[in-house]
Amino acid sequence: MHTLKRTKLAIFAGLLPSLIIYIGIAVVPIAMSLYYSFFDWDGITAKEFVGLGNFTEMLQDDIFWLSVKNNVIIMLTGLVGQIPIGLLLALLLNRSLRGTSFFRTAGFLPVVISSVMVSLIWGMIYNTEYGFLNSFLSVIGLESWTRNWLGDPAWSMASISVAYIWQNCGLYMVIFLAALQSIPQEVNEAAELDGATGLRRVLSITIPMIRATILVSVVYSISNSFRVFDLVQILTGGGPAHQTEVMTIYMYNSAFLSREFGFGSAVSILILLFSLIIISTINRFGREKDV
Amino acid sequence: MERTSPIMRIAAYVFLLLFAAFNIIPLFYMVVGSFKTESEYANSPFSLPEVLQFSNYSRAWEIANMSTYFMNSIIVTFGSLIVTVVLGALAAFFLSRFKFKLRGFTYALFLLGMLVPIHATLIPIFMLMKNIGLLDTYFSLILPYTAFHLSLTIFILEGFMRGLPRDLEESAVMDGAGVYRIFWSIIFPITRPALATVVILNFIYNWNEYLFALVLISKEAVKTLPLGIASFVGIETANLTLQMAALTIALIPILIFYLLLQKQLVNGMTAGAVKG
Amino acid sequence: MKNRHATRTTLMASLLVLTMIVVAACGGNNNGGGTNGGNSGGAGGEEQVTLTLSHPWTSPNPDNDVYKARIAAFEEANPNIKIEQDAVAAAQYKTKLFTLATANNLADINVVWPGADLDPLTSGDLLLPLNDYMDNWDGLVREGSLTGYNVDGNQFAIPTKQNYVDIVYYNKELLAQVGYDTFPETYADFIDMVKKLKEAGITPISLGNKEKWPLQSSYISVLAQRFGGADFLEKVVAGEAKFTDPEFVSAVGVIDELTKLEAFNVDANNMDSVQAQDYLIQGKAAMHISSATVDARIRTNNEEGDKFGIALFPSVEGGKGEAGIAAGVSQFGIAISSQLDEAKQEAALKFLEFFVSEDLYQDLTAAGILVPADIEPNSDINPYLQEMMELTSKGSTPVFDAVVPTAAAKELENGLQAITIGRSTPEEVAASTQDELGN
Repeated sequence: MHTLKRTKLAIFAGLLPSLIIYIGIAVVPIAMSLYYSFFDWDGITAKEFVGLGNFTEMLQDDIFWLSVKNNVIIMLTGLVGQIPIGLLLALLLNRSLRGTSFFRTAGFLPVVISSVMVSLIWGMIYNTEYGFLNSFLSVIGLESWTRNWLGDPAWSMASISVAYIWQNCGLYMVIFLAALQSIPQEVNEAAELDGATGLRRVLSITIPMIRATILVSVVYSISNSFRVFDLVQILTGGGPAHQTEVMTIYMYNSAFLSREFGFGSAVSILILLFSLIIISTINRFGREKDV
Repeated sequence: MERTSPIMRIAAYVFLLLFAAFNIIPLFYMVVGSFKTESEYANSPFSLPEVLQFSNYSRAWEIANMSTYFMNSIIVTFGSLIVTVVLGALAAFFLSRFKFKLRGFTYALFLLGMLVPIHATLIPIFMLMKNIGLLDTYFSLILPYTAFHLSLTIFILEGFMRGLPRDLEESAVMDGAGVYRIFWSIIFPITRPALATVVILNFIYNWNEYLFALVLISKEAVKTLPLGIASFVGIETANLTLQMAALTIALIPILIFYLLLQKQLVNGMTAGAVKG
Repeated sequence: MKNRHATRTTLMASLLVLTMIVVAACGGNNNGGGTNGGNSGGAGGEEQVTLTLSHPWTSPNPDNDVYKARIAAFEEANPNIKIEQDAVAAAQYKTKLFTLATANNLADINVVWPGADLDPLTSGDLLLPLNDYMDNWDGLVREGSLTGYNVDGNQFAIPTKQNYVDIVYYNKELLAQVGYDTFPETYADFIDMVKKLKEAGITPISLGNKEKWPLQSSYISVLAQRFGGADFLEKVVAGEAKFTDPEFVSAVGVIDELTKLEAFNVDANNMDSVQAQDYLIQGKAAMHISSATVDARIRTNNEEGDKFGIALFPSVEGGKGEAGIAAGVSQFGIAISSQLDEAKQEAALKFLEFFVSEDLYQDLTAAGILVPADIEPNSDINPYLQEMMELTSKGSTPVFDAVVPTAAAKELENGLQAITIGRSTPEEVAASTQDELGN
């Protein structure tokens, strides 16, 4: 690659503005959170240094571990749901199908629609007595399958996950659509000459070509799943009785509702650490094969 | 261009149609609801409005203070969008196509920003903005939006640029073109689909962002649209039909923006600029 | 490319920078502390004062319109004082207030809540004691309505609105269907009615407990009074009684009993309060318990509002508290920041005196809102408000989370939700709430 002397300066100049804004506005607050996490502090009266006290208290709290478990559920279902569906949509809409523009827009709607509407709509779908889902199940003779989708702890996380997948797969569709453009026409034509069609071509040519983007999407999906807040807050509020609480809600409740800001900061540091560990592991596996 | 069997084609259509219908229903419900009276909505949420309440829109516009907030949202959204995408593309360019000592470190540092739970930074950022005297200015929003979305922007663009063929710049380097020339005239144009992606994502996030705007802005003259839209709900009261009218108004710019960019999204390389 | 290098340094890099910046942050932190206060440009010879006012009056409710009109009237009467409003959506108002308080950056005039919500602000000395200026409101504001804003003898705010959180709204037709022309007066009779409604295939009570406060605020506040007597909650906070006392366990037991009778709509835990109101309005449930404020949606602004009646929770056998008492809270206290310079403080007091006055209470009453003052209404008030005033005229008991510290109130809320899904018992909930309270 370029090893000209001059470029060193150019690289430095090119990265500097981003770094200044980023470190100044994003990294410093994280560091401040880390600092607060060692204190017992309500945000207003004097801080009291407690060392790792907040962390040990948190790690002994069953509700915290419940929220970790719920985050892992969202992460896994998000990965398994959003990325394949997003990829499928992108593959279907990357060809000359009638109405692609319409479908591309419709597929993207859940991403932009307000969480107020998401809450109203999924509330109507999942409603036990009058909901669409239970009515539909009754109509097709599966009465025994009807249940309290959001209220029954056995099903609530699964129900939230479905809404989560629905809300985000359009996002990955857009990312994959962009990536598919980078596959040169010639590659497809050559494949066609070789007689590779349909699924085989997708698996053997298309997916390897956009591997980097798939990795990007996987990492993005994981990082998003650890920051999920709005959707859970509007569907169940983390309830009933903490059953659907995720780490960000646990953090928000302690920092802003119970006004234990030091403790809340400690939670946020752990959220950061958890996702960091998972993502660096994924990155390691994902990039090992990169030559 | 494709030789797909008719059955596959039909299956694809059925899937897409169902999916589209499922996504459009909420929108439809919202628009219908926005034309009803509150009492009509409370009594029968699924009925069609007896009389179209166009006045909902003017009331919503007024209550959400949209004549001010709309412009503010545009300024903040585009301000941070432009800064984020230009700086992010530049950073991604260097991170993806050059080798230098702190490359790995810088990349990892930027990645960190994608993992931060935003609520945790509210109070620190508030203090920061207070200390540098930027509270109640557009900058108090533009800076955090830029800082936190630089990560995603760099991340997506870096991934995309890294996948580009190596010999792309070679001839330009032979011709003695500078690094920035190469960026603007070769890499930037080719990256168009990915740029369109990050532009769309940044637009949506900035346009809908609520929490930072909530705490960092206390002056009516600088507030943004999401703050206005939240105005319709009290603790145990709500005016849902007016809120739906406001939401409909706020959704229009996003949809227009998306439709405009969609062409860029899928047209990037068709000119055949790259030889694999 | 050597990307392994990137992954290997990921953790290391972030840790390094974090520790590096901590140092910088701690240093930078001290700079801002003192430089707060009057940065209003007092330019020119005429003393022009700008005051900031932070309030949650954004939604298009009748009371909010009154408040805003009152602010406008003040500005008109005092051209040299400008009120710069920061209207914050009610659901996030406390989050914002808390964040501003953390940075010692409160607005000049703030709308605050009483009791436990006020404590952090007063313990941080962020509000101005109003003791020297109380003559203005003598004989106007009810003594009992002021106490929630009084901490250790210092009065920090004057309330503007009276709300009762435990009004039972009921569908007259559905009750008549199971043989009740009037609302039951005893708990036994009430439970009997619930059973009859259930038999008739009618959901007895609509509940929207997603946000968790309804069961705590609208139910337990009044139940604690009915079972434990008027000042039970205060006694618990003072350490003279305990949540584990049989009175409170019985109060929580009511939720357990209603749950076991399947008195609530199935989706109670994932519906919000407004959706539950609409269940009642749509005839999907026979009763709904919520604050007096929602009378606007259920009756006043509803063409079919006549269908609905109001009542209070019935008397309970062996309970120490009398029936007819409602759980009340004096809302929207107006408080002044303690950080103002002399000119601003004077202007703020002027505003307070003008804003919280008999005129405001008259306007609110005319708009159908209850007020924390005994005034002679000088306009015709609507019959629904008349009925509400009579219903709530027999005295009040405080709301749970206005007396009990926030952490314990949150513990109770989660415990109540656990009861509604059969995962806890009244005894356990009472014990864990007491635990959280400490003493």
